[in-house]
Amino acid sequence: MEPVLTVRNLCRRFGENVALNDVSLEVGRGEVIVLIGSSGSGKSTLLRCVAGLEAPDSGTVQIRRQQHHGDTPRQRKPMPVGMVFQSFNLYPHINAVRNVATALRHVQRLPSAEATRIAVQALDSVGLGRFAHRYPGELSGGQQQRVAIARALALAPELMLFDEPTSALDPETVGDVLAVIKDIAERGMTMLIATHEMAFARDVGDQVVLMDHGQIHERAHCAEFFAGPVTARGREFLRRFNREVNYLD
Amino acid sequence: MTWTWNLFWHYATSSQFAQGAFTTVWLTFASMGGAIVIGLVFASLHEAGNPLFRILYFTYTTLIRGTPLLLQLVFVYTVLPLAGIRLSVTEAALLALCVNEGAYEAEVIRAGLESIPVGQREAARVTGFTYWQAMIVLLVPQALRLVIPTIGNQINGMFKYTSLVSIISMSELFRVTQEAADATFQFLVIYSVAAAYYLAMTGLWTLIQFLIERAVRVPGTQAARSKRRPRMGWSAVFSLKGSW
Repeated sequence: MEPVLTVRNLCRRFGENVALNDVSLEVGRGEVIVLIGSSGSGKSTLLRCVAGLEAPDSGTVQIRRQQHHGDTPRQRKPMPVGMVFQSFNLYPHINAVRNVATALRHVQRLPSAEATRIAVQALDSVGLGRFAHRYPGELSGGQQQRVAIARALALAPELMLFDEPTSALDPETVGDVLAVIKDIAERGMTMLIATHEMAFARDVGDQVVLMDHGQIHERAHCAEFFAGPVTARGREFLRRFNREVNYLD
Repeated sequence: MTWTWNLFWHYATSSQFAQGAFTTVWLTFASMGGAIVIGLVFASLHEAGNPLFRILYFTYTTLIRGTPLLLQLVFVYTVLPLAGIRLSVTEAALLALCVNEGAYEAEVIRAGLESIPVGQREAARVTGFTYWQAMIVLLVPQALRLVIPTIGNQINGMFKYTSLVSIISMSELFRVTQEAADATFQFLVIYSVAAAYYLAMTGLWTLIQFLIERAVRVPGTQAARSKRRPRMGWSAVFSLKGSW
């Protein structure tokens, strides 16, 4: 499978703290990779390096763009990555549809009507078409996160990055957001998802990457990993998760 | 020294006071307009993170905020001509007021920009916005909304700071008042007229500011929510409980 994302020997330090230690990763087109690991294991830093928000100390990130054969408007160049943040990061002074359309208008230089049409379409695809004219402050956390997903999707990215997209949500709205992400995965989008939602990871992921102390500790197919991790750290991580599930049951 | 309403109304409705008040109003808004532009440019330069821009920013704000406005006015009017820069009274007044107030506006707008969560800049960056695009399209409009009460405060102040330009002989409200008082010795009545004019200007401005704040309020924000259920009546006045 042709890799969309190739990460080679990525290192990133914050003072004494080593956030990424020689991380290498390939993500094939249409593949969904789920990053798991405890807080501070380097999942977010890896995503931020891929998105270009963090400059690595060493190593390379390469995103291969697909060739477009005139099927997109002349001005419109798809973004290499779309990113969904834990805290939504919507612009609170403009409504949902303008949140989605603003990059289409000002970055991709689409005419206003065309940008709005694409934005409404993107909002429809996350089930928020009828909330297009609401402001972020008038939406629930789950709805805001879905607007943020629509904002990333509207730019037709090669790769979607999700940085713990449900960590700031109440349990009732988590399901709506996860359903939207699963739907996008089923449409063939290449995705890299950092999450603590193990059941979701098992459900939607093709592969699981377990990170620990800035390193990739284990990489396996989802079914294999959840059936029985190879490494001791993987088994310990999963045992803790299973204990939580049993406790909830 | 006697008070007569007739004399008060005579001066209050005289063309020289109306002319002086008009000069004060346009000088206030022109200076504030220029100052806000200067403030926006300097605050945006500061936020760009370039060390050279920051040095420029700190030099400007420290120099201007560290010296009296009166000194700056006199400096522009008397020292610049020595360097061959000849300015009329109005030009000198405008330049000094804009440059002085610009330093304060830069700090006000910087505070507004820095109160916007950093995540929004990251979201803009990852969707392809350049720094200046994000500033102009997304961040400055938010920052300006946030600092309207502070800028309103500064405009209120500017109505009164403009009285200092009388020192370089500009015929604004205070200069007109001084001339009338010196000619008639009716100090109580004439300075009361000036006070009434200043009060009317700042009072009217307070109302305009309220209307602007209401017009640009964003639905779903705290400011919009708190206005939904206003506490009415005397019970609200005497209540110590407060309301969210």
